[in-house]
Amino acid sequence: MDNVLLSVDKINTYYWTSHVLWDLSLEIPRGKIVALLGRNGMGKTTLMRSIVGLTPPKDGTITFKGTTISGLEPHKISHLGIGYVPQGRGIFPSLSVKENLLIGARGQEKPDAWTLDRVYEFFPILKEREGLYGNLLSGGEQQMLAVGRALMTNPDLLIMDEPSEGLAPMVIKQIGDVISALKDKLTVFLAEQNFNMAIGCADYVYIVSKGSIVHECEPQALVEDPEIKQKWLGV
Amino acid sequence: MGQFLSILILGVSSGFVYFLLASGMTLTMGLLRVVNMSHGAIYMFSGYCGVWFYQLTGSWALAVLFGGVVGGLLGLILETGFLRRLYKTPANQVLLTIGIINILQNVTEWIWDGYGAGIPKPLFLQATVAIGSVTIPVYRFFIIGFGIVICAAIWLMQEKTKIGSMVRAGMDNGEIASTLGINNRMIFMFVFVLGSFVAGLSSMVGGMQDDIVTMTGWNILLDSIIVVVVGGTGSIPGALLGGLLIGLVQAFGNAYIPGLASYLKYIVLIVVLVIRPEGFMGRKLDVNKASDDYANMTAAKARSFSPLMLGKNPSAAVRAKLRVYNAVPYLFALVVMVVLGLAVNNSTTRILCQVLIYALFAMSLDVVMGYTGNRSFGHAAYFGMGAYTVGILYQHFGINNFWLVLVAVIVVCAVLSALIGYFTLRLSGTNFLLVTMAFGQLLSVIASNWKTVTKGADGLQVSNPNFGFEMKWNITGKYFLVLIIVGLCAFLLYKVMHSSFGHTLEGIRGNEGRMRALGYNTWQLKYTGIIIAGIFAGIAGLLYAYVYGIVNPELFNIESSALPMLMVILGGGATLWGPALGAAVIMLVKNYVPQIPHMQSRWPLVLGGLYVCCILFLKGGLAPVLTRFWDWVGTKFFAKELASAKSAETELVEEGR
Amino acid sequence: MSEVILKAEKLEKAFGGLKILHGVDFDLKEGERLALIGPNGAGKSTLLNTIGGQGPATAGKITFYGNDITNLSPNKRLHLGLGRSFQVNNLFWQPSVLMNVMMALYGGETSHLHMFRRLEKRADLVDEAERLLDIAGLLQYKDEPPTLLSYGEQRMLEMVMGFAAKPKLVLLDEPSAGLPTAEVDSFIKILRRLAGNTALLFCAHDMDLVFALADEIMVLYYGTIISKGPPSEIAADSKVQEVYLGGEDDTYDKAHS
Repeated sequence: MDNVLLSVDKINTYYWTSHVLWDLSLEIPRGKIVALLGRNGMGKTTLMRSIVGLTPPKDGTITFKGTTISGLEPHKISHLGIGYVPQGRGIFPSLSVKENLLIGARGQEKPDAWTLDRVYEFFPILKEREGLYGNLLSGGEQQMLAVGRALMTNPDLLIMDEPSEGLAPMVIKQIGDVISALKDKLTVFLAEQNFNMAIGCADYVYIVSKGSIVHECEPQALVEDPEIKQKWLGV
Repeated sequence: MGQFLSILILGVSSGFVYFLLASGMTLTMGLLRVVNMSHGAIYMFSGYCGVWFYQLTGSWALAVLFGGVVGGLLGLILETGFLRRLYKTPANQVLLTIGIINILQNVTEWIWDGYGAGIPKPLFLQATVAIGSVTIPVYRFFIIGFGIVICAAIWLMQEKTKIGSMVRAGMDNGEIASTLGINNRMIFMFVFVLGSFVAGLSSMVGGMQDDIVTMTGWNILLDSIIVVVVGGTGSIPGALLGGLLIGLVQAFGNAYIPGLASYLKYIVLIVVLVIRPEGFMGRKLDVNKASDDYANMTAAKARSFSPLMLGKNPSAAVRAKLRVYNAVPYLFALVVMVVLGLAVNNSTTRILCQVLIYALFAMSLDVVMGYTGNRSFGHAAYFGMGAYTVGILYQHFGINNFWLVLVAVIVVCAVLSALIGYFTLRLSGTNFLLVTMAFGQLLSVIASNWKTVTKGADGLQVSNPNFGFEMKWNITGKYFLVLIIVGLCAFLLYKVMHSSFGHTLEGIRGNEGRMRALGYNTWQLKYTGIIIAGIFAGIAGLLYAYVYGIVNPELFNIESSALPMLMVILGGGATLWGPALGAAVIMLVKNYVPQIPHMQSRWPLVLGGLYVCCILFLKGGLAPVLTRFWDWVGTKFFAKELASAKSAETELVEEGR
Repeated sequence: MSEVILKAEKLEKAFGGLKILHGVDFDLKEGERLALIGPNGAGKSTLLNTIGGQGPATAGKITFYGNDITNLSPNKRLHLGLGRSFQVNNLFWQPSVLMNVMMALYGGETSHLHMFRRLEKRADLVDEAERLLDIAGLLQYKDEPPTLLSYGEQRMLEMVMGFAAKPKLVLLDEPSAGLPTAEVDSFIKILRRLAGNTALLFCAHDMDLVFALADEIMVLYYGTIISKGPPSEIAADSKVQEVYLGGEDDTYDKAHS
């Protein structure tokens, strides 16, 4: 499949001694929004961290655009075109909003690249907050900043880890809209616990449990199948 | 008025010298969490090289630049060659960079024969300016101007450039920064080299005020650490504020209260830390991250032999055999020490005395460092205090009854450690290390300056102790006295560290938050641990005073504190016998290396090399290696019992089916 | 009517500019098992930490058996009868499983400055520790270091340590997190035996555990308690369904009105 942007093949990842991901495999097609659903503690964050290189898998391979990236350092993986919006957002408190955005900026010369102006256009609130330090923003603003910051690296694939965590419902909806709006521009891989938000914007869904993919389908199929929902997501 | 102005300018210019040194340290501490103790030594070495270059070319400006290049290169070597491997283990960085100080200092002594650098002043800076009734040397204004330029440059770099924002991002959260494509290692290297470059560049300028000598590496280090801690780690404006504060306090103190001036900076440090532990402009360091490497360094691995393998209820014979097995290493050590004490000549006996005294000193540090996991870098305070108590009681009160003095030492050291512990325990990790060091240094200053009591650098003579019974006070007599007392102390420490209390200390090292949730008052327990460690270090100091007959301020200095730390690391912490063994190795090297031809004054070089090698290659110390060996002996010694215990177990399992 | 032992009034907690708890009020009666549920990031762990003393509340008041414990250190809270276990296994990795429990038992005593008495020689504590390990099914591993236990066994040990000092109320943070599904049933059984009549305040994502254990459930959503009641009531509550599925906007409005 030429259309596969990222493929994860039988990776095993450990946190110190505890084995978190067990022979986990999945594929992310180019240009789609793929959601990873699963309950707490099932390995969503670990998978995301394995892809971006923060918690490298012990064995198995991760291939991105035909290059093996498992084992590379995080900054090299970033340069190959993977943007990361971490869980908890990870805004730098001693940098202003503008500096947060500019710190990883690159690839601005492409015609439809994400530039500071385009990110401000996309998130007008960030333009207003430009000079503020990162820790003075509200949760939703921080989330938008984290997305904007990752977009500034002009990635082909955007990895988002629980963007809805700890946000008010209104804001969750906004973030959902943002993700949907990104659809035509790049590929998104999204770990979520908020079922409705994930279903609302995803083209394809993987479900993870105990460190392995246990189910994959179109989002509609999941909505129509309460049994699977009950079994793996507990909703 | 004129005098006031002159002092003010002196204070500000020395403040800028402090700042120039502290700026590099504060950046590396804020970003890399690296305490680069060798920063001052880089300054010192660059100064010497700058002077050499000046003599070669005659150009002062080029020499200043050359100093910077040397500093930067040293930084590059240090970062890429050594520190890069140790970013996760702060205690080891401290020791490694102390090793580097020893090496740089000794190399300098070697090349320049121990003379001062003789920092030159170019003609245009030799002039003076008359303001009212006083004349002020022009170079002071130059230093101030130079400092302002460098400060502005670093501040602009940090606040306004992209690389500066990367540095700040790295301080906030290096992991996230790396996922944005930032190569943290390059940033680390940049900051480290920049800091070293500034230190090197400043050496020819700062040296105009106080000439650089080989000891400058140590002396200036302490001042810049105080500046960094007072200003707050990671903050350039903080370093400036701290530098100016310390410079002014020093200058005005020297002028108006000369007797107290040398204590003032330590008092400032202590006051600031009590009121605001993170310093003036510092960010709160992540306390939890401090419970790191050392805690797990000696972590239990699956053992090839443990008494538990002998089955649930071993027979009386097996238990007796086990007791023998456990006691053999200790008995062996005791027999060796007794035989050596009887057999060897007097000069060797003196060395063995030193081994024993330092073994006790290192074991007492092990209580704090190994068992509790707090790296105390001021342990010499108690050792020195124990020795000085002996000296002062004899010189001023004529008391030399051993038992009376022993009680006095215990009381004095308990009070001192209670006091220091009270101030330092609110800190953890790197700050704990630095502030304990400052306390040790404060005592060293007192010992050097309070001449009516301590006789300053001359030190105090101590006469032979009176035991209340006849005792032959020759070297062999001394040796056996030391052996008995050190043996008793080791036994007591062993008992205490294996008691319920000792377990709570190890629990705190492993997981303090959990201990609190389980109902332990961890502050009280750690505090008690510090006092116990202080008392036993004091007893070691007492023995030192009586065996060598003299006490001097060197006992307090920073190297005296670094030595037991190295012993603990070399031997392996939280074992007691490990640090004792480490003491033996180091003291033997220290005494025998100078006897090798051409090595008379190369001991610090060897010591520095030892620090570096221990840290790079011997991560858990000697203890785990020896434990593994003794376990292996155990599997042979108990081969029969192990086999029968195993078959009994299988039978049991089969019965269960 | 049993007595109210824990009372939280208008608890607030903020980290920097980010407010996690927006004024939480609830109370807990003697022997009651209260479950705290809600989506990720709702503030469940933060609430437990505030009550357990792992991070002081920014505003509000916590009363336990009539004592104001809002700013008390965790060790003093334990001695008043408030114990806890953690979400991530928070064990001492050496020397042994038995010693872990012994440390928990010894922590419940008032003085810990026994300098010459070995903890292993405290026969009373050893017996009690072995009794607890037997309940938890860990007795055969008592001399092993906890690193050799499976994750589920470590989790069980974590529970034993929470209950060892016989507190009157135990806080459990995600007790069954990460347990293989097959082990959850036996885990709940053992947890019930360990707990006896002890009051519990626990948060969990696993609804099987919640419904098996709780007398009362409260739902935390975006830092506020939006619902509290017996399990049957909560299960039928449409508001709770919405919260879990990613609620409509009016849930939040209702919660904050």
